[in-house]
Amino acid sequence: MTETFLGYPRADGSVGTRNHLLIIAPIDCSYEPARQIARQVDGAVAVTQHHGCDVNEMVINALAGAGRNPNIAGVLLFGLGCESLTNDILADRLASSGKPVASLVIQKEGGTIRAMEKGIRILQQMAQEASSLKKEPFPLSKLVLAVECGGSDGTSGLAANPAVGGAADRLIDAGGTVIFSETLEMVGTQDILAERAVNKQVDEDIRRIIGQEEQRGRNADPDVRFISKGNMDGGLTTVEEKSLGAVCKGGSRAIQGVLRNDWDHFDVPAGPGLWIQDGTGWDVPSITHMAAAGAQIACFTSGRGSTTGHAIVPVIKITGNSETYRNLADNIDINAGTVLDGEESLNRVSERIFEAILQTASGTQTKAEALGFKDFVVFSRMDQYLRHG
Amino acid sequence: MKRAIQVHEKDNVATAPKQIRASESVRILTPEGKTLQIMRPNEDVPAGHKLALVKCRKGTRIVKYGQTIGIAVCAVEPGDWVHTHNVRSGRMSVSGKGGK
Repeated sequence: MTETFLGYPRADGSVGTRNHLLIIAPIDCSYEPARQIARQVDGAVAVTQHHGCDVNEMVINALAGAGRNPNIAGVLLFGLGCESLTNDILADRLASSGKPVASLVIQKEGGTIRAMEKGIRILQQMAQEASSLKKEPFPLSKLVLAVECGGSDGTSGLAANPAVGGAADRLIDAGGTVIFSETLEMVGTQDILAERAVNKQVDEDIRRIIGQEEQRGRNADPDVRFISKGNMDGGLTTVEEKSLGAVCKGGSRAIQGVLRNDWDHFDVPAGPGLWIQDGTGWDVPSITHMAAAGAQIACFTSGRGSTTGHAIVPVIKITGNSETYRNLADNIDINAGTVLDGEESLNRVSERIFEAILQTASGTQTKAEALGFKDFVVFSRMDQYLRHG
Repeated sequence: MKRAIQVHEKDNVATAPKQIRASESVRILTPEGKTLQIMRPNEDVPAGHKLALVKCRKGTRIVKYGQTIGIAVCAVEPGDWVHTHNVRSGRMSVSGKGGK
């Protein structure tokens, strides 16, 4: 039997698991009115970035990628007017998606009230048009899954991450695509990951990005950002231990390539299979940048517990810690702690996660979605800022 | 009986999903649930934390997932709680200043 999910067909041939409308404030100066517009229109969500007028590919592509994401039915660009990252720059990057894109500039419209009125009218029409779209069954070759971990503890590498890895393997075997990121949490796993590279170039790319991240770590000011207090309280002793547990979430299949995600380049997967994005270990921006690369759904493992949802993609949360599951039952979708309690095999939990991916892709809400959580943060590397600045 | 998982046959530590008290026996299991040994910890091991399976001299590589996760900074006895007080990173310290 060929497995399918129900999704929304888009003009560029991609498939949405959701049918959101996106308001992009290209700078946070216009974010508050953008947010107020979103409140007025059904299915609309507003996003922005917090790096001011420092325009670079990382910031531009995070926002443009959010707009291009298949889960978005239509986009309203809502600028202030004097920013470096203009609506026009984003409109250019969105054009080939073929989706409706409107543009408004507060300084041209004569203030927020006029701009907001126009914006609401434009989005009202987009909402009605988007609602007429019917969901259709699609093969899993149309699905791109982002896998993320945060608030890791000693159970993460034993239960939740390998369980998600099993589901990732299954999706890839069915023709799908998986992206994992968080380069810092690969430090110490260079050899294991590079061994799975499809060719020598990818092998070198994997070693290069992890080596760079390790160097950034060594150069940084003394603090505990590489392995958090929460990680240590949860039983993780070193960054190597954290990494070895973390990379399990990407499963075991061949690594097709490294997706650059920096001030000069931004790559999207060139085909199905497993991809590494060179990205931050911070949860919300990590999911944001994988969504910008085209992921329409995410699995997020957490030992300590997380509440994260996302503006663009549904986020299925999984813990390997049964106590965390009981404590945060409002927020965690799947308990993989049953593996450590001796109640369920790892394969069985992977199966449950795979089923949840198909269900969620087809429209079933995650706990975070039902609670209306719409996290979105754009990340930009500070060391690149220093180099360019 | 409380449980702790030895992920790989080469590992010299096991991870306790739930807190183990020093007074309790603990069953050391493979990820598939096969019992490898039963031991008694020398001290409390918090949930998610590790205990040593064998004697590790100062400088010994601490192995989990069949891979080195750090270096013992002092002698570690079987049954000892293994964490930041007796193991450091082989790659970078938590301060980011770089272990060697």
